[in-house]
Amino acid sequence: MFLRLLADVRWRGADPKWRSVACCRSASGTAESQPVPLPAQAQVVICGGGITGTSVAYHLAKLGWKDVVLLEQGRLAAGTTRFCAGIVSTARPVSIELKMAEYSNKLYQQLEQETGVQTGYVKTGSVSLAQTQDRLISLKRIASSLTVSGIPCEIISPKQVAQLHPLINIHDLVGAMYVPEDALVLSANVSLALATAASRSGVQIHERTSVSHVSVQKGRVTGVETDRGHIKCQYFVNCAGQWAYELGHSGEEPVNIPLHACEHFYLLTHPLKEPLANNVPTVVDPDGRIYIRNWQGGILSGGFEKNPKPLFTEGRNQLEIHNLQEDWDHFEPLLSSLLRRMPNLEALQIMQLVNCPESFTPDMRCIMGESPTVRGYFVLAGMNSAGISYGGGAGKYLAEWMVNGYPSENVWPLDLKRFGTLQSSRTFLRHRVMEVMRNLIKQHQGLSVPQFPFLPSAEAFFFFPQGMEFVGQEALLEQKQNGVYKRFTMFILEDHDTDMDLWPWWGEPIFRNGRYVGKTTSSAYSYTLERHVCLGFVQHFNEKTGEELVVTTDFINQGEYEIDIAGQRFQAKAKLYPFSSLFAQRRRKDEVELSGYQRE
Amino acid sequence: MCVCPGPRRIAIPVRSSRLPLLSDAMPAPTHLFPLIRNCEISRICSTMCYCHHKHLCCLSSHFAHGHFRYAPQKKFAALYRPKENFYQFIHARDYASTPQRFYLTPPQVNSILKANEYSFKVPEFDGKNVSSVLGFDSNQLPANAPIEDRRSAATCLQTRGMLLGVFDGHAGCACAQAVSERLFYYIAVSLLPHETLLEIENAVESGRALLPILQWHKHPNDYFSKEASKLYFNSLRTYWQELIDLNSGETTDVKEALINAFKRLDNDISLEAQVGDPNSFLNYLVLRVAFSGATACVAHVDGVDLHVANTGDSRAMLGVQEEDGSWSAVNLSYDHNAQNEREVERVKTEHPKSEEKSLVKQDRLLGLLMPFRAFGDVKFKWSIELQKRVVESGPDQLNDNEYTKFIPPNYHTPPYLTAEPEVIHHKLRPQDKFLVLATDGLWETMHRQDVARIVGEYLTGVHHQQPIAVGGYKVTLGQMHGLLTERRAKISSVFEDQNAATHLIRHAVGNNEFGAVDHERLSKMLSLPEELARMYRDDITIIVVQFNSHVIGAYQNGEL
Repeated sequence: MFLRLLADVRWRGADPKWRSVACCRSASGTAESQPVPLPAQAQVVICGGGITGTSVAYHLAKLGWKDVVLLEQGRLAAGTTRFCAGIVSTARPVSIELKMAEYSNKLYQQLEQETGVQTGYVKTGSVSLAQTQDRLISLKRIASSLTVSGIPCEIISPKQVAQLHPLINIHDLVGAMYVPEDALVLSANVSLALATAASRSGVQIHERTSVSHVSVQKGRVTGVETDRGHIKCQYFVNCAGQWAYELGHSGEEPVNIPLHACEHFYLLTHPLKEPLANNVPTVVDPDGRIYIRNWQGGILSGGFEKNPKPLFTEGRNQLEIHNLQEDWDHFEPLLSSLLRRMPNLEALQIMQLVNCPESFTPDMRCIMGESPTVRGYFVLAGMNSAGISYGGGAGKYLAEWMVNGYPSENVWPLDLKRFGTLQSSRTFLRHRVMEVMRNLIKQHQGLSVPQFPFLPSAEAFFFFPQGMEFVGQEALLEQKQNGVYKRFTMFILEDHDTDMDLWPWWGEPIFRNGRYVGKTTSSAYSYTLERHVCLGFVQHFNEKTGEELVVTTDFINQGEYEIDIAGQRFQAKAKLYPFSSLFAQRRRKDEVELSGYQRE
Repeated sequence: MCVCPGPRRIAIPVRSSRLPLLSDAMPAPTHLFPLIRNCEISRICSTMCYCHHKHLCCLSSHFAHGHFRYAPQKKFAALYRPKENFYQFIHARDYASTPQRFYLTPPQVNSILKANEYSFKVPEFDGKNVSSVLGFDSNQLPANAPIEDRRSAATCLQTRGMLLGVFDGHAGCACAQAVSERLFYYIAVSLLPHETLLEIENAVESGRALLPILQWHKHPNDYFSKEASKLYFNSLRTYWQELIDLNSGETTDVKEALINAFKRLDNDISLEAQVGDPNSFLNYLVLRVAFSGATACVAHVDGVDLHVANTGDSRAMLGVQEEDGSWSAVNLSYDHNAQNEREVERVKTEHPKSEEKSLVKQDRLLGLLMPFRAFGDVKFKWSIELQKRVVESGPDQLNDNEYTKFIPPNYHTPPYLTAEPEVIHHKLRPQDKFLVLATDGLWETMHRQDVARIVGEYLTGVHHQQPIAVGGYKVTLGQMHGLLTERRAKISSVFEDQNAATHLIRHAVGNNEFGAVDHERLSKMLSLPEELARMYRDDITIIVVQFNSHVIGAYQNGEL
């Protein structure tokens, strides 16, 4: 009865290793057919066969790591992945998330061609509605950060909204943001396609195998204990989704993965009398806390209520979690806002209210990276109900992290190390996720965690006394020799009217001679200068290849700068040194040694 | 002598001092206070007539008084909102001549219900919380003016455990007030080990700062009398000095401590009244305390050990969640009244056989007092000589008071009354979710099973409506929306209370015959004028203590 509809499984690949498992599946209930025995050892064991687990396996295989075993306690893509609404949305305020979503979108688009598994990929676009001016400004800020990432998007008027979607009531709207590249997928099938591709590259997939704990020796992963035996391994990847927390605590050396599951509801309806077109854009109504997408001619609509229902997964198996009750009373506020947004739906018949557990983290960012306490123990979980949007990209970065030692992008805001043990208290998590979830759909930059000043680089002088060594010396010397790729720069907004114009609130794109060179990381109004001052990293991209080049003092000084605040560009003057130094000694430029440390 | 068997706890002689003053203002019945429906008046009248014809005059004086005081109805008119559908009701009863009806709006009802609510949460230190009590909610709704119920809650600082109690006063609030201020100190002192007592005594002796004994959790309306604090302190000090001298060397048994504290306090109340005080205000106060009475129901929670000491007819009830999620109630106290056969038996064995018939009349002790055990009430404890001596030497106010002068009939072998509590010990189990302490105002209107269910469902956030499932039915979004909006309106009353005790009072006062809160009824009950309220309901005081099942479970497994 549960969403077989969404997971239209037709994926049995041609791979012999996997087929035997598949046979066991098809003869469900007949226990006599023996599953393939587990290997005694592997380089990597991944726990979890959802979108994140399969994506990590897929990307590890792509990067050449083939000795990988993926374990799934039930069936592939049977957890949250199967239930989720399948919306791939790139409209994310944090740039790393935006990049992950963008990559995921591109990956899913070509996945059907690559694997032959139907992924149901449809490019529908998405429309985020604004009922208030404040919301519109917030959307404009996201739009300007999307634009610099090369994702097409535009701010449109309510009338244009009506043209894009026939059912929307536009009377209370002030505008909207349209992202034409956003897509819909059959989430379970995407996961199965990734699994199929991974399996073809040599990844072994074992279903109905649950991990009881991870063995650790001398602070390093040595193996994995499962209900079907032991596997020796060097790396373990915890992609257990809502069970990740428990799994992290199951071993002798606990790994804190602060996430907590909440019930999440969405509604499915029968088709409309005039079925919705296949490519009608997905609607996100942050003020009404809902999203609405086309689903087989009817609609699928869910949202993030003000009073989330946390869920305890301890000791509960997958089946129990999947038979969660529909709670209409809980859904009532969301249904009201759906009918307000689309009044013509009143006569539409209900098919089902789906209760799908989702896991949330204390800061609404997913969790990835290596455990600070156990080497070789990697984690990718806590997708905050955006597993499909992030899954592809997150899997890629984690795979890079494992293979190369560091990912190709700065994933610091998502690193597991940002949490301490305090955040992994159940009581804290339970209360925190209730706060987080109600803010989820309203998220904009105002809620983002401040970027940690990981990269100090204003200006520092280092003397290297002979024969003395210190931590990081090598990196500094290397930097001294090669120069820096990112320069921390101060900008003074020139034609910005503090009383009338929107204020920078960090994350605004910086343009040099009309080209994007970075984003602001902080800003404030300076009473002395009577101007807004922004701080940010400036990078130098090769105009043709996009490759990062060394940032020189001249590069900074010889340029016209603009800062884009919610779509409006303001002229800015770049300063490499704090103002105090202007009044201090005349320090000559050529004496300056660049020593901003940067390495991601 | 007219003795009213109405809802009052203690019968009061008719010749009240205000009677002559008000009789001139006696109006015709139809012009009575407009909030009372005619039918209700007839009900009141009929009850009253039933008890005694003479009583009618006493009653009229009540009405007259009520009318007199509330005559400027404009003051209230602004508060009440006309309710349309009520006209139909009036019409059906052919009360066309009745003036307009006014009802309290839901926010007005809430402000009355919430005026005295108080919540306390035991500070939680993230899982390492070792208190088996999560916190408590308390509230009270007056029917008497001023209210005669009192409540107290405090954490013992020198020993472990928490004390909670409800006190139902009668013949005034003086005794309940004194007991609510003093009893916990007596209990805490009884529980203290010898060394701590010595330490405290030495501190007092040398004028050093005292160790704090109790941390009170008080609503701003719960006051302590400043004037008597010195007197009370001296009595308490005498008590601990005696405890120091007695030093049994044994570890203190909670049950014993509770019994000793109750008896000692009652004894002190009685002694203070006999000795008197040079300060005339205090002298009058101690006499009022001694001549009025109070019942007490006190719980002491320490880990899994729950002791309930009860004197009188307040009640403690444990809410237990069964394995199937349903709620059941376990009594943790016995009422001391005529309905308790054991209690009647006890009273009878304590007095000569010749008095057997006069001891309990009309379900009252000596035909007068409803509770069979109480603090104060020296009229049922002292000899006639002592009473006369004290009253005569006492201040004029006391001498003028008919009640204090009046000696109960058939008063041969005092004392007839004791403050000694019955103590029940209960080991808390994880399924024990909460404890309700409440005065008889609640238990008169609600069965304990309903109390357990209402509080249980409130605390777990489960409302008793069946969940909706679409199943195979053809339901449109619009239909579902209508249904949900309706349901939400129904359960909104659950969510407008942030306090379990308030929620319980809402049910106790407003429940209709189907067990659902009826706003009209609630509004009517709450808009009764002071003098009439007592005819329909008693003071209600409730404390709901919520237990931490995790901590209790850990205690059971020996983890704590």
